[in-house]
Amino acid sequence: MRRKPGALLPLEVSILTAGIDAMRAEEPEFHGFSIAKAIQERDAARRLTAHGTLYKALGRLERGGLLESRWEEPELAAADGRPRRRLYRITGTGAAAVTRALATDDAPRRSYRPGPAMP
Amino acid sequence: MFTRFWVRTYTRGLPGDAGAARLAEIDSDLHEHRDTGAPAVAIVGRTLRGIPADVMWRREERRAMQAASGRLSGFQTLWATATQAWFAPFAVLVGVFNVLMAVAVAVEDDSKMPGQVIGPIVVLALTAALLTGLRLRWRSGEPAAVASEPTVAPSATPVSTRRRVGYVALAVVAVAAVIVGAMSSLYLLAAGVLTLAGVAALARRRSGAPRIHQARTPRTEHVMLADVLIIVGTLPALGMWWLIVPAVLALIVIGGVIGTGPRTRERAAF
Repeated sequence: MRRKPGALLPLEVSILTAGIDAMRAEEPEFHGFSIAKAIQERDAARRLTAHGTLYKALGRLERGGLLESRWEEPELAAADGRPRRRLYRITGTGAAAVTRALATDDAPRRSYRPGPAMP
Repeated sequence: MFTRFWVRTYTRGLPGDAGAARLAEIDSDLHEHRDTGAPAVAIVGRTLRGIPADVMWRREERRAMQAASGRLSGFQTLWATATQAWFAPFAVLVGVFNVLMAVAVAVEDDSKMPGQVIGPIVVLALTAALLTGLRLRWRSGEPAAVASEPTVAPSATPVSTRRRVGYVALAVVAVAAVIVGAMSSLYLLAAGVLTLAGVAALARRRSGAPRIHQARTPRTEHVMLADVLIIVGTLPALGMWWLIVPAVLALIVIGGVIGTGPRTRERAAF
């Protein structure tokens, strides 16, 4: 199915909504796995979003200017004994786009209700 | 682990930062996922479900890479090489057949005048047209007289693995033709020798001495004329259809000329 120009896919709306939730929780930056977890919890889904699907969507949103990203400082990751995270943050354009998508009927049938703050 | 193996597989050959960034991001994700105590089968399943998206992502990245570098896709490169760099030796071979035909007609004992004179003249004229067309085509890819500041290129131009394999394959075919031709067929011998010469010339062009790089502005005004001249020049070889080899070579040359669009022509080595 070909998407309409400017229209957001359900997964993209879910990601951006989770980004807004993260902002509300005063933790504006999130990483891939935390988004997958947030979407799973919100949808009460049995499985996490697949790697390929999730990171392709994140890349698309970043290219479109709806998200921005940076790599966290290596010292932080080393202190926690884990690989570095790529941290995403929703942009003003992204917030406006998801608000518009939620307001119109272009929004997906599920997983886009702004939920409680993301953990 | 399967996920890392798969990520390494589909990021292979991508520009360093895109592939490395994806691998690092998935590494981080895997670490977080394992930390939740998820079973390995759930992680592998998550990877498997994303394979179609991974494949599409790779295609997009490669397309973006090619667009950024101005490089042709694998098929386009193959086509450009096959139709530009390699049809030239075939065209020269067609010219040789034309000349042989002209000589054969001229010296034939039971030929009738004036065909014995006019025939060779026409054939030689067409051969001249063929060679002129080749020359014009070659010139259409030369640097323009007025160009930007020249720069000295590195002494060894990088040659892609695919191209190297192409050269080696053609060289093997040429050597085989020489060996078989030496035993039984003058045509095969000539084809083998010419192909070998072509391979050597191209290999020399690509990895030889430092070259001056200038802005390439193809002289496109001559390209159409060159194509017409080359095609017309293959007519005598086509006329020798009963000998099969000249006609087949002529068809290869015509296919090369017709099949070469402006974009491939601009990018091709020849």
